[in-house]
Amino acid sequence: MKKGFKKGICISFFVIFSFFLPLFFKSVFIQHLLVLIGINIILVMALDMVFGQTGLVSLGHAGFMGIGAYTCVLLVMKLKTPFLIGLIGGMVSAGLFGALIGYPSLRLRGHYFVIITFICGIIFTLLFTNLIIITNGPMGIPGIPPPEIRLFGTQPIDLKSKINYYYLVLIFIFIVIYIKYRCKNSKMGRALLAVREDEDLGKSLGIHTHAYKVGIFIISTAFAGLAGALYAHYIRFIGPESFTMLHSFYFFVMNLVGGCGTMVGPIIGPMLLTVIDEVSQLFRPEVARILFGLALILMIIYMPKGIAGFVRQHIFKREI
Amino acid sequence: MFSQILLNGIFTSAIYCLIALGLTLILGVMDIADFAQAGLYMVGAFLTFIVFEIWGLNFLVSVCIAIVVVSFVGIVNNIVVYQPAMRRGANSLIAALGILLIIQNLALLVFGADYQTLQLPFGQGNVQIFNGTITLYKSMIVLIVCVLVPAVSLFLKKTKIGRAIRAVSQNKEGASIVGIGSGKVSVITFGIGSAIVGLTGALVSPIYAFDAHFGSHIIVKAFTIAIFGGLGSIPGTVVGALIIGIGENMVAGYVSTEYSSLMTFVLLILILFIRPQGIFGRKAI
Amino acid sequence: MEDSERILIVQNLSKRFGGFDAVSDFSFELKKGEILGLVGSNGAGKTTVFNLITGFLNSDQGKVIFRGRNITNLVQHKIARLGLARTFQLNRLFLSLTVEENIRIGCHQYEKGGIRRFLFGSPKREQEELEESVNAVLELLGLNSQRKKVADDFPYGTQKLLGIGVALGARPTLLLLDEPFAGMNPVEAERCISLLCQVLERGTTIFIVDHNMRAVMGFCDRIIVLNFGKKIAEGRPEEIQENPEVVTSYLGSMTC
Repeated sequence: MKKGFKKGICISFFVIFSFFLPLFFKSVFIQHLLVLIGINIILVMALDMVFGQTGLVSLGHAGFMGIGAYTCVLLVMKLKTPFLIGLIGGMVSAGLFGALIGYPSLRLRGHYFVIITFICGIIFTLLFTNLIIITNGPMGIPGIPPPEIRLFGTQPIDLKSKINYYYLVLIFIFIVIYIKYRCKNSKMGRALLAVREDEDLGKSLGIHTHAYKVGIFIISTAFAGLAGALYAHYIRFIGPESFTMLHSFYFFVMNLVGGCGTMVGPIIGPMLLTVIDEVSQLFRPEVARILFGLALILMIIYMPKGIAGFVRQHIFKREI
Repeated sequence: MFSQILLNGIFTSAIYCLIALGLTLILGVMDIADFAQAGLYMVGAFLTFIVFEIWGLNFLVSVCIAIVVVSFVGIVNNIVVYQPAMRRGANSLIAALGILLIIQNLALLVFGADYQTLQLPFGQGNVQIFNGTITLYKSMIVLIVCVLVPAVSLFLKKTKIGRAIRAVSQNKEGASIVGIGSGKVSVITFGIGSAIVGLTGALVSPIYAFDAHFGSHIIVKAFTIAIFGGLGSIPGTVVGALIIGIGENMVAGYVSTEYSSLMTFVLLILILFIRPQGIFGRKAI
Repeated sequence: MEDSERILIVQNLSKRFGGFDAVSDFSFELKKGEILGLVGSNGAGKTTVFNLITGFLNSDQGKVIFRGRNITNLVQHKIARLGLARTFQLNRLFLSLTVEENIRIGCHQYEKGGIRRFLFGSPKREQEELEESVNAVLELLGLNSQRKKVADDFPYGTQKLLGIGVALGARPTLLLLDEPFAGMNPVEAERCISLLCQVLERGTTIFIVDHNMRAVMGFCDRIIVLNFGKKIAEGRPEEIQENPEVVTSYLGSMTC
């Protein structure tokens, strides 16, 4: 069978599978899990663009998620804009902050970019806590309404239902997957490959590496903002504690465990780790965090390419 | 009021300086961003609590035990996690955060989420300097810092081990050609750095209330100071600690406490743009 | 020399590192289509000159004019886009990528971009043009049959050849080669020389740096000799060989 044909079948299977997935489960808890996994997948896909594909470690993505969330919520609740406008607003504002932080800091060596994103993550949390006039401070914003989306008729779709919200998230996942695929297989993708493998060599070949780095960072933070907006209207409450360093760290672990620089990795990672995290919330959450820490350390040392990479190399015996 | 704020500032600087000292050694010498030191700081405090308050041993003995145990943990981290990670080319900051996560949550499991406090073992009296007062205990800490920092500096310059550490920090390969193994130096540097941090945690345990997340905020300040002053530079650490420690207290005293942390972050961003290698740093960025 | 013939003009280039003058008051001109060699013992400042010209280092003093444009202290990627490509002394490649992927990145600046192509892909014609460019370089290198092999799997000499190939992907009018023959065995060096001859035939100007005078003698039209950052001789290979200062400064470092 031709390689392309095989790939096409796998993708179709995946698409069909994901459409029917929630219908297998009657349990509300599992449906809840699926929505959360979906939102995390969007975020980790965004993170992978910057980390897996380009080799830039960003530890502040939860902060951008928060910016997208707060912007969308404020647009919808205070300015009464439709949900989709709020969503786009969230993406735009997260992207703008991404540009603001990325433009100067991506000129510096990688070592310092990490520390800056780390510190920015902390600053965002501080801002969410202290700018009480905008964000309502530590009390957070309760009572966020579910998204109001009217298709053709005048009746809005019931997005309080977890299954319907799952499909909403799924649509965006497909969009993100497509954009991510385009980021990889395009002129930009080749430039980012050069950035990851040997940036100076890339520069000597006429590649404006700084512009591409900032570009992918903006796309990545915008999608993080998208995930934030979706999260806000699902959980229907957000506060500074929803977007902390710990969350940034979780997403990072999900990316690493799933496999960086792959298309499947950012799907496997969130699936596995969201389940572990949510299940352990029922017992002792500290245990989950210890497992996360252990997973991270073991991954870095023994499986640096994550589960997807490991499977590819050892089971399919293919080069990455 | 000025003298009081100044005194508070000097005390804060002393604490920051100690932790930053451990960090700048490790980051400057081994190029490892050991954020796990925040956990070691916390462990130092909790250990002192256990040995002094619960087992009832002498305070000095408690501090010594804390130093030894924390140093040991630091060395274990180095051998089990950091060295293998560095060999694989992985980012040490991520490994450090992994370790920190484990340490903090183990502490949560064992001690619960409540804050702990310790009784001041001695030095309750006050000392009056100009218009401000400071407890004898805190003055003792400042004095310890004033002695320890030059001592570490001398250690690095005059002793054989100290010179080995400096050799590795400047040129790892060159050092190994002359017979100085970077693995051994790595272990020793971690041992010393962790010991300093453990000492600090132990010493401040009677002053601050501490919980499992104790150290998370101070580690960011300490890293800022290390970067600000220049990695691997001890005079830089001292200057940075003074600027940030006193500066923060000034802002907190004259403006408001909310903005004092902001000042630190602004300073960090500034130095990264203006002089990324830090005030006294020699490594190019 | 007519102005249009002078493809590279370097005037009074200087660079200091701390108290050390790596390059002092260095001036020369490169004629279009010629092969210029820059020789000097290790530490003479040759790679520094390269780094100064190609934007990897900022000069303290002096001017670099390429094809009539002042490129002094311009940023690397802009210089490359003007038609100046280089290789590196410690060979640089995208080691974990295949030969053709490496060369494709070399051709990057000629790929058309833009939002439409980003979202929907380039038209087939453009994709084919890109592949033709890549194939052309592969043919030149003689690596067409090994295009899917990972760069790291090749012996060092072939990797250096590939490094030149990647630079060629950028279609340079001036190619700067930093110690291209170092680390090559005689067979690989032959292959390299024949590659460079073909490159010359297509009108590319070549500027080579090497510390082995003999290797470069038979190959270059003109030679400049650098010693401790200063130019001590310039001329045709025969003239250089007779130059007493060159002979003295090379005693002990000349390979026989």
